Amino acid sequence: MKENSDENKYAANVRIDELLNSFIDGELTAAQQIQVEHLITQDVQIAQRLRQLQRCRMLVGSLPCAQVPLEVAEGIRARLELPIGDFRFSIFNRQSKIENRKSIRRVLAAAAMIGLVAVLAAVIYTILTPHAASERPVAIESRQVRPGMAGATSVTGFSGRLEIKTGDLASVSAFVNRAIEDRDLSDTVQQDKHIYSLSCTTKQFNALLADLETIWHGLDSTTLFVNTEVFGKPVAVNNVTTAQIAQIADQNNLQKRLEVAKSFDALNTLVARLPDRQIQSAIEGADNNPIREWRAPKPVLTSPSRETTRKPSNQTQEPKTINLTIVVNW
Amino acid sequence: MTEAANADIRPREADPEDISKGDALLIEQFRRGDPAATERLIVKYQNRIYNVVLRICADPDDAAELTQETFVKILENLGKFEGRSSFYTWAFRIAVNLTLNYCQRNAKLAVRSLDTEEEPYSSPPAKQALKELLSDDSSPDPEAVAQNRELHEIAIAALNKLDETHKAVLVLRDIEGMSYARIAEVLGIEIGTVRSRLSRARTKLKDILEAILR
Repeated sequence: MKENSDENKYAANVRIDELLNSFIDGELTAAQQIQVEHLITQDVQIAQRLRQLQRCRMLVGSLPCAQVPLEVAEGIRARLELPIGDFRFSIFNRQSKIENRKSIRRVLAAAAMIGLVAVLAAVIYTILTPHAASERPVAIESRQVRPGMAGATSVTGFSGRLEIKTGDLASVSAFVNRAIEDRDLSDTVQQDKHIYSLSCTTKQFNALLADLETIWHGLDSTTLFVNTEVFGKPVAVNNVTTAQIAQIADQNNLQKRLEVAKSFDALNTLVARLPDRQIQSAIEGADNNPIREWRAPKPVLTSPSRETTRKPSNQTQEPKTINLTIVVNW
Repeated sequence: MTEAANADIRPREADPEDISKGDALLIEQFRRGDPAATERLIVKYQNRIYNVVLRICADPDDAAELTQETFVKILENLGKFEGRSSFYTWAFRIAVNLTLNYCQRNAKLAVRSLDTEEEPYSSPPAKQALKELLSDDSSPDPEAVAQNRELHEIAIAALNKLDETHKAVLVLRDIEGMSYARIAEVLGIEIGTVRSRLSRARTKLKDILEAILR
């Protein structure tokens, strides 16, 4: 009997608190408001409770307005990256694709198969074909860029950004951090929260990629942005693999690098659209994957006269520099 | 009595209808591909969203990242925004959902160390300020409370002792100044639930503050 009485008292207090809080917030009807005002004048304890609740509200409401850090707006721009017009265009494209997806899925799958073969052929051709010889064959003593070649075709280090999306931000970021430390790259890294800007040699970079490979398949998405000569217009490679990153970075000039990057992007896009992703798993799973494993040097042409071009002394000895920003996001 | 009851409410919140004014035009400009419209939407809402997120998640770095994530999501999905709720409500729904999900995920991983840290209200001046605020004999001046840094620290510490769902409803009401109906829209719950949740949150907060003085 006493328990029932206590329960009733508790329920009544809860109801009174709700009324008082709604009263403070101006969320009562006119009739309810009059009732509460009457209650307050009749009951000293309720009036005191009202004042306490009002002061709690005053305290929370008094908290100063914090200014958002400047990096937030910069981060938003960097994340969206594309000019807004292009961005909008891509959104509407995506929407219309979703609407039409069912009706075109079969056609797309067939087209994807054909396209995949074409892209694979293009990739292999791009990588295997020797430089077109516009002049007579020349024997080259050492692999290098010929004097006089500049701009997009000169030997340049790799520069780009790798965006990793994951549901487990803390663990993945910690893994990346540890991998960087394990590879003695900490000194070269400018680290912001979940953003790592590193500068290293190809050898160090490949070792880092080998470490990242262990978590790669658990990531939500991986996109490599290869910087071009036009600032803010990188070439994106979606669903990029570590082997593809290594191969892109390994290219000796920017033009080649961009060609390979575009080819991989086209390839990955097609593979992602294939039903059941058989080909993707075949590419990802096969250890004898020709793209991944192929490491043979490019063919070297020679002439009977053994005419040679010598390396200019100011080139060649420097190892290629990799400048990469790794961004780990949700 | 009504006037007296509401005398302590700071006029920090603008009417949400005023806040939303011009959003439809900005969205239309965004849809036409005007980059300036995006900029204006970000500038208009970034501080409000950051403050709500900050008070719920309690960490400035996390709040900055969550605010950034909120705007990326908003701008990625603005093309699909149908206007069934106002942009203001929709934007805060994204922000609060992201924050609550983040807090839930983090709660599983993180061990709360609040109990071992030195509480900001352990200093005698802070306790005295709180005592004066809660004393029935005093009539606290809202402006003075707003200027008192020690009371702010106490308020933040007390808020952080609430669970996130209670914090969210309290922050949307007392800091962002939303009506119960709008809070219900943002959180996707009934108005009655807002009413009872807010009441429980404020009562708990009152108990926490009283416990500090004991």
